[in-house]
This record gives sequence, C-alpha cells and structure tokens, in this order.
Amino acid sequence: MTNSKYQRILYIATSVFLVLLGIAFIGCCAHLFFTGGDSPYSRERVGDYLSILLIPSVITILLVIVGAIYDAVIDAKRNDAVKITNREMLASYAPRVDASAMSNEAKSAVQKERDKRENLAWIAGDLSFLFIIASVVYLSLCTSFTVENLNGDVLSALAGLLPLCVGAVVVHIPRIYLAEASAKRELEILRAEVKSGVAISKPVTMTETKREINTVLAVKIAIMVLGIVFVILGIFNGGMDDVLQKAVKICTECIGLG
Amino acid sequence: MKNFFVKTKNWFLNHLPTKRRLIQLYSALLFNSYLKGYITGDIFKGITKNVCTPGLNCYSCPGAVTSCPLGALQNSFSASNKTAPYYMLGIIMLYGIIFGRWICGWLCPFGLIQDLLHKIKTPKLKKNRVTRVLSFLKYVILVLFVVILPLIYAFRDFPLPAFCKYICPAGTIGGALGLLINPNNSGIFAMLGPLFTWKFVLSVSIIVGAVFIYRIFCRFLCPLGAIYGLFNKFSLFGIKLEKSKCIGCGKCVSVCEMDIHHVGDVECINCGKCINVCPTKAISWKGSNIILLENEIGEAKTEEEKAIVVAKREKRVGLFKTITALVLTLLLCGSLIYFNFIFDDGTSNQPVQEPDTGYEIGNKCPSYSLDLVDGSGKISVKDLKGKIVIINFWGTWCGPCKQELPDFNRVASEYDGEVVVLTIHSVYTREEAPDYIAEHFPDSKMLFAYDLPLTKNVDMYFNLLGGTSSYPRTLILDENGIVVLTQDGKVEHSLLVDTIEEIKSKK
Repeated sequence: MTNSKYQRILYIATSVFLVLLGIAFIGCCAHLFFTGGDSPYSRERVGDYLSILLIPSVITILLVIVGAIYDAVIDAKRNDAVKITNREMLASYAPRVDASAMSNEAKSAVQKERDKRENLAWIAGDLSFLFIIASVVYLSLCTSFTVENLNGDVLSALAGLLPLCVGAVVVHIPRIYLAEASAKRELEILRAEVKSGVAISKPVTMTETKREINTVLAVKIAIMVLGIVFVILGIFNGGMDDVLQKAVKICTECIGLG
Repeated sequence: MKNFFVKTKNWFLNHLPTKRRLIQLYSALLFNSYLKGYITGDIFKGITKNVCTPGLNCYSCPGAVTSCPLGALQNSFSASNKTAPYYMLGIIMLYGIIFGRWICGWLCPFGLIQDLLHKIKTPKLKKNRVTRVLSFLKYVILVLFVVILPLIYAFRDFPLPAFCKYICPAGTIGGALGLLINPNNSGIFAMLGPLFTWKFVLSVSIIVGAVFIYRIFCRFLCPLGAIYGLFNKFSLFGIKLEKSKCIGCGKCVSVCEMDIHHVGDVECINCGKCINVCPTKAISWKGSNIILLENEIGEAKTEEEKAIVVAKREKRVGLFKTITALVLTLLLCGSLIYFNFIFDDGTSNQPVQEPDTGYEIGNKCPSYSLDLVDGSGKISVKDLKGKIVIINFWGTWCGPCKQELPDFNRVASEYDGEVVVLTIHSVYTREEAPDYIAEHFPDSKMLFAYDLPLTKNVDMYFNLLGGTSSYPRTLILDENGIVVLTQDGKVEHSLLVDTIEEIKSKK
C-alpha cells in the first residue's frame, strides 16, 4: 500500500470514530433524559455514562494524534483550493469578448442563456419573498407568546417558522444549479467564438472612483461618531451597569441550564 | 546523530504556529484569565465585566473576565421596555467599524476552537453553492433570536436572551459544562432538563460538524459574525483589495474556505490566506502603508538611497513589533496575576456566621435581619421558627425567577399557617420590586424582603446561603430551621409540595 492509501484509511477511520462518538454522546444524553424521570441528571448517573464513553473517546483521541503525527512526518500536501464557479468565471470572461464580432446565432444563444438566468433569479426571488411574507404573517398571528409556557410557545412558533425560513433559503438551491449549468453553456459558446477568431481583450482592471472612496470614508466617520455617542448615552442611562450586573448574576436558564 | 537534530530542528521551524494562531491563543487566554474560576467553580464578578469581548465568549464561563457582546446585546433588548439599548448598540458599532470580521478570524475564542477542530485529519466538505446559500441562515437567526424574540418578551416584561438560551454552543461548552465539571457545582445537576438536553445535542453536532466543515458555526449560525460582516467594507482593520491591480482571476476566492464572493465581502473573516496567492499583489492589509510609508522609497533617487530607506523602514517595523509584543505580554501576565492572585470579590468580608450553621442539607440555616419590601419592618429566619420556611432568591431581571413565583404563591396560599414563603429580592433592580409585586401578587401570603449588598455585585444573604452566581436559588427549612432542600434554578410546584409533605410526615 502506498503512503496516500494508508493516509486515506487513517482519515476515514478517524472520521467514522468521531461521528460515532458524537452519536454516542447524543444517545447517552437522550437516554439519560428520557429514562431519568423528574430529575434525569445527577452526578452519579452522568459519571456512569461517561465511564462507558471513556474507551471510545480514548480510541478517537489516539486516532487523531496518530493522524497528526503521520501527516507531520510524511508532510503530505493537500490541495484545499476550490474551483471557482462558472458564473464567477463568466463574470470576468464575458466583458472581455468583443460581442460585436460574434455571429448572430452565438449572440442569440448567449442572450437566451442570460434571459434564462434572469428569469430563474426572479422566480427564486419571488418564491423566497412569499416565504418571508408568510413567516411575518405567521409571527404576527402567534399571539400566544406567554410567559407561563415560554419554552412551549417559543418552540411551537419556531416549529412553524423554521420550515418557512428554510423554504425561503432552499428555493435558491435549484436556481443555483440551473444558473451554473446555464453559465457553463454560455462560457462554452463564448470560448468557441474566441477560438473561431473573435477578439478578446486582456483582463480588465477596475478602478475605485473618488466618489466611492469619499462615501466609504463618510460612512466610517458617521458610524464611529454614532457609536461613541451611543456608548456615552448608554453609560449615563445605566446601560453599562446593566451589562455588568447581568454578567455577574447569571440566570441559569439563559445559558441553557434548565 | 547530528543529521537527526538538524532534521528535527527544521521540522519544528517549519511547523511553528502562525502569527494568527498565536494571536488567537493569546486573546482566548486574555479574555479567560480568571483561571481560579475553574478551581472554585464560580464565575468572575469584577468590574471588567462592564467591558465586552469582541468575539463570542460566554460570561458564564468560569474563566471569563469580560462579557459576551451577543449576550449583553440580547439582555439590552430584553430590558428595552425600561432602558434604551444605547450602550450595547454603541459597543457593537465601534467593534464593527474598527475591526469588522477581523474579530472572527483573529480574536474570537470559539472561532479558535473550530479552527483547531478542523485541523483533525479527516475528509473535509468543501464550500459549494449550497453552503453559499446556507450562509444566509445566520441572518435569519440574528433577526429572530437576537432581535425579535427578546423585544417581544421585553414588552411582556420577561427577559429572554433567546439565542443564548436556545442555540449558543459557546454558552453550553464554556459556560454550562465549564460550571458542571466542577464538584462544587453538583447542585446544578438537579436543574438540568429538556433545555439542557437540546443545547447539548446541538453543541455536540456543531463540534463534530466543525471537524468536517470549516467554521460551521461562523458560516451558518453565528449572529455576531452576521453583524460584523455588515461592517467589513468600512472597517479600519482587515483585508483590502486594490481594484486597479485586480485582474479577476478568482484565485483568492478559490483558496478561501469561507463562502465569499469576493475578498473583503460580508463572509470574509480577514484571515489573510488570499494575500499570498494573489498574482498581482492586489490584496493587502488595511493600514499597512502607515508603517511601510511607500512615499519615502519613491522619493529616493539612487539605489543606495533606496537601500538606506528600506533598511530604516525595516528597523522601524522591527521596533514597532518589539514594543507591541512587549506591551501585549505585560498585559497578559498582568491579567493572569491580578485576576488570580490579587483580585478580591469581597466575599471574604462576609459577616461572621453563627456557630454550627450552614446552607448544606442537615445544617441549621444562618439567620440575618432583612428589610421587608413594603417597608413594614425587618424579617429574619429565626422569627419564623416553628413553621416550614421556603426561602427563594429572585430578581425582576431574571426570567425563570418570575416564571416560578406563581408556584411559590400557590404553595403559600395552599399551606397558609403551616408554611412561610420568604422571597428575597437581589439588590440589583430592587427599585422595580415594589411595583412588580403590587401588580402580580397584590394579596399574596408570601413575604417579600430585600437582600443586602456585600459588594456592589454580590448579595450578602444569597452568598451566605451558598449562592454563587446563578439565579434563582431556593432553600426549604423544616420547623427547626434545618435545611432540607437546596436547589439552584427553577423549582416546580410538585417538588415544593412533595418536600413539604415529606417534612410534615416526619413530624
């Protein structure tokens, strides 16, 4: 076996043990909770479960150490670089191609791909917006944010909100894949045109205008001044003291002890 | 033999920690210099907790000497029905405009933990289009858990730092587990339940995930990173791109493990990995020209003059680095010495206890005279001898304290004549107590008293009865004033009733 095969086996073994150890910790915690009655956690019970997890933890730690030593001694180099996406490549390639010299078929094919991507962006954006509106409506209809059943109310509100928020994000995933495929097709068309003799200019460098520079500077100064004013106001209205008191008198549920 | 030593020396020289790693370790140690807290199991209560760490570092971690900006921001929103949250908004704005997400890459202790976990040799999940979309999830968490939920409950007069309570893994690992591992905090185990279970599961998932996915928490879940990212373009520290030199080759984006679209955008944590790969040297650190002073080299006419200017510049840079390293080392050593050996939290000035008293089960409870909230006089535990006494320490700033008070009120009514419920309000926010009591418990059988200040941050009777830093705390005494139950955290009505019945049955 070559060194890289040993390395791969070691990496996979470490991964498997880590995942299994994580599942074991979660499983033990869940078992403690569901079988413990009114007071599921006690020092003794937790100690018993930790002693069960001791050997797998030690094996996992040993694998991690062996992996680190092996990597350091062999000094393996990994390629962590990620290929840039077709859309990113297109963004820097397309402006350099002399569009006026392209054939009519190529021009209409390129325009078709661009229209496709724009439509996908609109559809995904509209769907996303609908999910966001639905989330806002759901939140405003959730009038039962009571104090008595706090955890129940918050968790049930989240149970309704989370799918809507995830939906707002997930609708963009197919758009991204379809847009990427469309960008790849457009790149192929442009490259074919360049190969057939259409001119392509050197990479374009951008310049920052004086207006952009002044805007950034103005925003920096404004935020800095506003921040200082707010801090001074906060010191005088007792906000600073509140930070100290809440940090030294911790409410246990607020850090998840409950 | 000589060859072996040379090889080993070269190996160490090639595997030295980077400057960034050293700064991360330094800041993690500086912000958690109260090492004594891990031994005593109590949190730091000094005045430096007025100041917030730039990164995520839970203030309930035994070693933390500063506050967490995210926790403090949520607490400020939770109290916005009484005090406008100017201080925390100002702090976040100043950190953002000065550092931006440079904090995430160089100063955040939880970021360091994820970086170290990611070094474990396993197959890794590289960034892709899906992770880029998922990076928007942290903005959803910011809006929902950091802003909306605390504000909704603030106007119901109930403090709810929702992100800390339901999500934050730094709080679970640094704070909750940091307190639990200490034998002095065995009492905390009794209060663990579904909330802790959920947070533990989430934290373990994030820790395991961090091994396979670079900075899983920072990229997808961290609301603080979401806030700082908005300032990235304007911040004084961080990476800058000289657009006039950029040829759009994309090498910087491809080498970066965060979900950036371009260098210095909202996802960039300013780690500096992209600087070395840029073929046209278009990427550099903001402010680097201040030390380098390119103009002086430009003014030099001959090669000799240029060499002199370069040598002077290098000497200046070296001096700057030496002074900075010296100051930072002195700061760290000073912090470690002061917080662990010199600082006195005032608890040693505790009034002398009566002999043979204590707060553990089986001890006789010490008695102390406290002022009643309604101003009708004083009360102490020895005045209540002959009845079962329930002592509850609470505060209007504490959500779970307010949540459990109705249960104590019920017990006081149900067992009127046999049981006395004495609720003792913390010195902090004591001015709110009379109105709160008048509004929620107008004809209550409970007794309401104020605690006394031992120091500005420590309540005397709470400390005397074994309280460390966490509220609420409950003790139940039998008719002879002997402690039968002590509980940190919220208490259920059923536990109170069971304990009372047990005491009555033993008569």
